[in-house]
Amino acid sequence: MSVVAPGELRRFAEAFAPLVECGGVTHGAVRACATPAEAAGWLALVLREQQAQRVLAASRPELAAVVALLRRELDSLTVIDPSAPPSLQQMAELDAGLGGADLLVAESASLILTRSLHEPWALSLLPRVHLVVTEAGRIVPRLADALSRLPAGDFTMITGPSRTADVEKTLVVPAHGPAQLFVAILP
Amino acid sequence: MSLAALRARIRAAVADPALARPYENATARGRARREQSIARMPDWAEQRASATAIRHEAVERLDELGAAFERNFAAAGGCTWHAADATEACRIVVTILQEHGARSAIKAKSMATEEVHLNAALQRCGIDAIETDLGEFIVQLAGQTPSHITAPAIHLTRQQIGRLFADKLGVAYTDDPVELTAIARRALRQRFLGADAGISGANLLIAETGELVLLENEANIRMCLTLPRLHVAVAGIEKVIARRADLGPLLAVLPRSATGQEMGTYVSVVGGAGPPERHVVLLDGGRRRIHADPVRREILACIRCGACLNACPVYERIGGYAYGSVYPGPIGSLLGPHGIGIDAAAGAALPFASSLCGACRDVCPVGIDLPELLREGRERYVRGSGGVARGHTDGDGVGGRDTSGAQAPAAGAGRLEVLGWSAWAFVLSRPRLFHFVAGAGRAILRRATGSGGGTRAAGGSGNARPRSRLAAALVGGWTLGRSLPTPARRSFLKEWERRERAAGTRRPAA
Repeated sequence: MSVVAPGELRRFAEAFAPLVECGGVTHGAVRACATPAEAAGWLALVLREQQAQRVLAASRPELAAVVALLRRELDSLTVIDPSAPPSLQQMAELDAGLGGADLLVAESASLILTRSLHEPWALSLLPRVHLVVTEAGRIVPRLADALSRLPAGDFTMITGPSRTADVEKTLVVPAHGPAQLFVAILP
Repeated sequence: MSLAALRARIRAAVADPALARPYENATARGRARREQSIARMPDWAEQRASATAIRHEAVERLDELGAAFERNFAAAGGCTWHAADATEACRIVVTILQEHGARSAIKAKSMATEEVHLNAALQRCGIDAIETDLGEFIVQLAGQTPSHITAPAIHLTRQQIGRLFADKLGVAYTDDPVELTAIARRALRQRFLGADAGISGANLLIAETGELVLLENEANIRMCLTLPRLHVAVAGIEKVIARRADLGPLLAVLPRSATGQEMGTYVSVVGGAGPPERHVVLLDGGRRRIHADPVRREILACIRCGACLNACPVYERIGGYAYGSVYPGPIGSLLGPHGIGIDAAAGAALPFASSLCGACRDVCPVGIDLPELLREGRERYVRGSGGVARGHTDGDGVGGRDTSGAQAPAAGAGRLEVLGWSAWAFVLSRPRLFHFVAGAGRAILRRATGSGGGTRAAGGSGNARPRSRLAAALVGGWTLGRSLPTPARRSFLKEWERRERAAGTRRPAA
């Protein structure tokens, strides 16, 4: 991955902030973390605040250091075994899913995830809290830059927590998906 | 539906006070959010121009791109089906579900499945299909149909939704949108996990990669696409685009136009490779007839953002149901005469449900000239050709010496109206006759306003004359509260020539 201009991280954070605001309540945050220890410390705090007990983590390599540190603080953190994927019911009973992102789009604060056995789609879909650990080098300025880098195959682009405005056009977070979205960005 | 029947529906809608408030609130908010999101964007005009070019290119290459999409979707393992009409589309979806032993389905919001009335067909075959988009869930619970392309429950107030939920779901009454959304989330959770099949539409189909693109905010579509073992999408054949890179401009304009968001919360791009097993039903349903018509082909560029509904003063006032079509608003009035969303005969008069103000064209993210197409639709209706293309198009129905309108059967308009417009066209296309008639009209009006003596200064437009009997006879009640303006003694052209001569300049002969 190419080295990202520092301004892109700021742009990502600026675009992210309004996405998690709804009716005076904040539904997530983004944080640039200098080390895996800082990211793990912050996410542990977030999980305690969210009263999230049951947490499942993707088995992505870039998450390994943070997950190892988090495990010391959380009893119920498990990591996905790609050879024995969890059932939907198991995923639905989780409080939080900890995953990654293949690319990040600065202009819209979007996370792009490609299909992977190491992170089933349901991990970023069914649990109430969605945690993301990723690297600044994956940030691209615009969607067009991301589209030109993405490999063939399914992908999903996530921009903020799940929302709806179907009752009198009033914004409500969440609808059917995650209510909270926290993104830790490592150098 | 004849023009008279449409007018009756519109009158009834305008007279219904319960309709005005929800629609006004929703469309005004929709417009404001769209404008704010565009104002924050540095390159709206460029992105819109790109999106327009992409969609118009796709429509021109429809057959080629459609074939490429099918090839690539199938190569990855997906199944494609062709549905000529609504009946066939429903039969295909039911067959796929039955062959897989699917008894229950979760549905993503999809106008194509509304268009073919899929829910009714599934119900008849004993398949339990539940709408999972909050607005669609509400509308299905109420036994209604969507009143807006992107906001299906726009016509209901929070109080009505609260009473509906209390009635049908057995929960305590609340009119708090947060509570109502939480109730729907709880009600649908287990359905998502246990459904045999997911059914959706598609916002776009990428030819190059054989992928479906779906935009949403709630995450229910992601569930329909990924949780069940079977996924069936129903999409109009016009949804195809050439390349994945085309998503750049299209995703820049679509969410902003639809909801004023910089980006939809979830954009899913899925190909034919499972799991789940994926099927795409490509729906014609009248689209090929539009494609065969060079004047109307650009209607197919539409990406169903719904901005033209929010912009339309007629939609805001009469609401989504008065049109009688699955697709309301300006775009629906263009699809209707081709039998899309409504029976073709019934939809023929829909181009009249517009003020032709042009607000829809101003907001359209893919540059469709809606007011011109609506005007042209009226012309065809009056000529009696409905949605069917004329053998040849002259580009301008009134210009030239084409007075064929007088000979064509007048299906909707009165004979007198047709005669009047024919006379108008006859006079306007003959300059000398026009000047004679205009001069005569001026003389009559000057007499009517009591200034026929010719004593006033040239070019003067004085009025405030006492009301004459001739004026009263000509314009009746209009002069009760105001006076009829006096036309100038000379025509603009004559006055111009006079001044040019006076200024001593030469000008080419007229």
